[in-house]
Amino acid sequence: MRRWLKIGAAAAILAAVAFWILTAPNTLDDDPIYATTGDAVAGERMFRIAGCGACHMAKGATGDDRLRLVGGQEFASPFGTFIAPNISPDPETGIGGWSSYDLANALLRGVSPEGAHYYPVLPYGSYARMQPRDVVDLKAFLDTLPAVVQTNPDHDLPLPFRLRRGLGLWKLLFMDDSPVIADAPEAGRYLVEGPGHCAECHTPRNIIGGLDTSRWMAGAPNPSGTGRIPNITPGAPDVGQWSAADLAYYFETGFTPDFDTAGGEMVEVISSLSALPAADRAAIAEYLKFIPAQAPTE
Amino acid sequence: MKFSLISSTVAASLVAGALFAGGHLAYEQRQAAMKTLGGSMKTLGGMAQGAAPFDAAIVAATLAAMQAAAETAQGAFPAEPDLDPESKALAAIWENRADFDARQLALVDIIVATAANPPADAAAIGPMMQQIGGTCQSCHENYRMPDQ
Repeated sequence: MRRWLKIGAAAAILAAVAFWILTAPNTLDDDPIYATTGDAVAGERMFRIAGCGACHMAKGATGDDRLRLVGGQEFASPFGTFIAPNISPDPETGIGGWSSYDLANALLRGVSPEGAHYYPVLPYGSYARMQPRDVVDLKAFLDTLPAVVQTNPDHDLPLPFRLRRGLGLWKLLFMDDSPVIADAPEAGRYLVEGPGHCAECHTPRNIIGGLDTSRWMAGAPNPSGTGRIPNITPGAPDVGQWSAADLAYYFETGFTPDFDTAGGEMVEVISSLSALPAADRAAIAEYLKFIPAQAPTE
Repeated sequence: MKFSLISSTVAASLVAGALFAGGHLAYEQRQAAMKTLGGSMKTLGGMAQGAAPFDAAIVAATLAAMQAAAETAQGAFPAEPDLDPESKALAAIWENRADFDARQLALVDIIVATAANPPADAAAIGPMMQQIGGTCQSCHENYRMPDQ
């Protein structure tokens, strides 16, 4: 009996050590590129395609307030309610004190400057594919925005999900910065699979929140309410019939080929996409026409 | 002369379509009105994109049809929640009724203002559509169910 207890205790300690090692936050190597000065104009393009403002501005902000990235918006999920942080350049309550390297760790690895895991509500599973240069430029642009002092409440999560360490396991399972549709045209692939993070809503997830890449862009339940986020592959009954020009026009104006308008979260996405260079909208459209058709979900 | 005859026929049928389309149920009336709005935007979009020649009379008739449709839609959201599996209207409409009504009114207002000062050429249609489309989206963002 004593012997079994000893073996059990040893196994538990081993499991705990293994858990601790496996779940360690994995930071980037410090590349000299993070010490260079970013190009804020190029960074604004990244800011648009990454859609930072949609989540980090105040809820329903209009006009110039859309560039005050104060946080505070709430995002309900099956795991609890997440609250967007302040990412304005305020050094105390925002991220003004961060280096480009800190921002790169947040976006590419989902790790805070203090070395804690972020929840994947920050879509680092997609941002992991971003080029370091683009992160440096994005930081330069973020630094030009108004600094706002605002402290937001913590996420409101039930106990098992309040412990961030376990996210290390989630990352082991789902963090992968390789291309999903490897042979797709590169410009659009980078924008869609990386900073654009389109799959985060348009691809269904498994029970622990990982993207099902075998159903890439096949549509998914709406995480923030009723209805579904549509299938946007060539197999979709409606969007699949749109030409690349139709898609690009939709990204620019919000009008579908039938002159219905965008709705739901896509309204906010269109407001970002419409501010991009036309070549980027065309590249996204080209990618979406290329990816494998997915049958509609019943 | 021949053109204006065609235009006025188009105008009459557009207005009639907006007024008489749709079934008895409130959501059917709203859906018919929304369809008229979408079809009207398509007519205007065709001119903006150069697929159809610019015709001031058709623009005026289209805007008249849109005004009628917007007013029909405005009157077809009952005071009590009107949810149906066939309707994409969200409960949020009735939880934020004042905001919803204000946005619907903004659509009617912008159509009336545009009809009073209509676009003079094809190039002016695009910006006009963006303005009107913006009011459409501002409702669709929070009050219409997304779907496939």
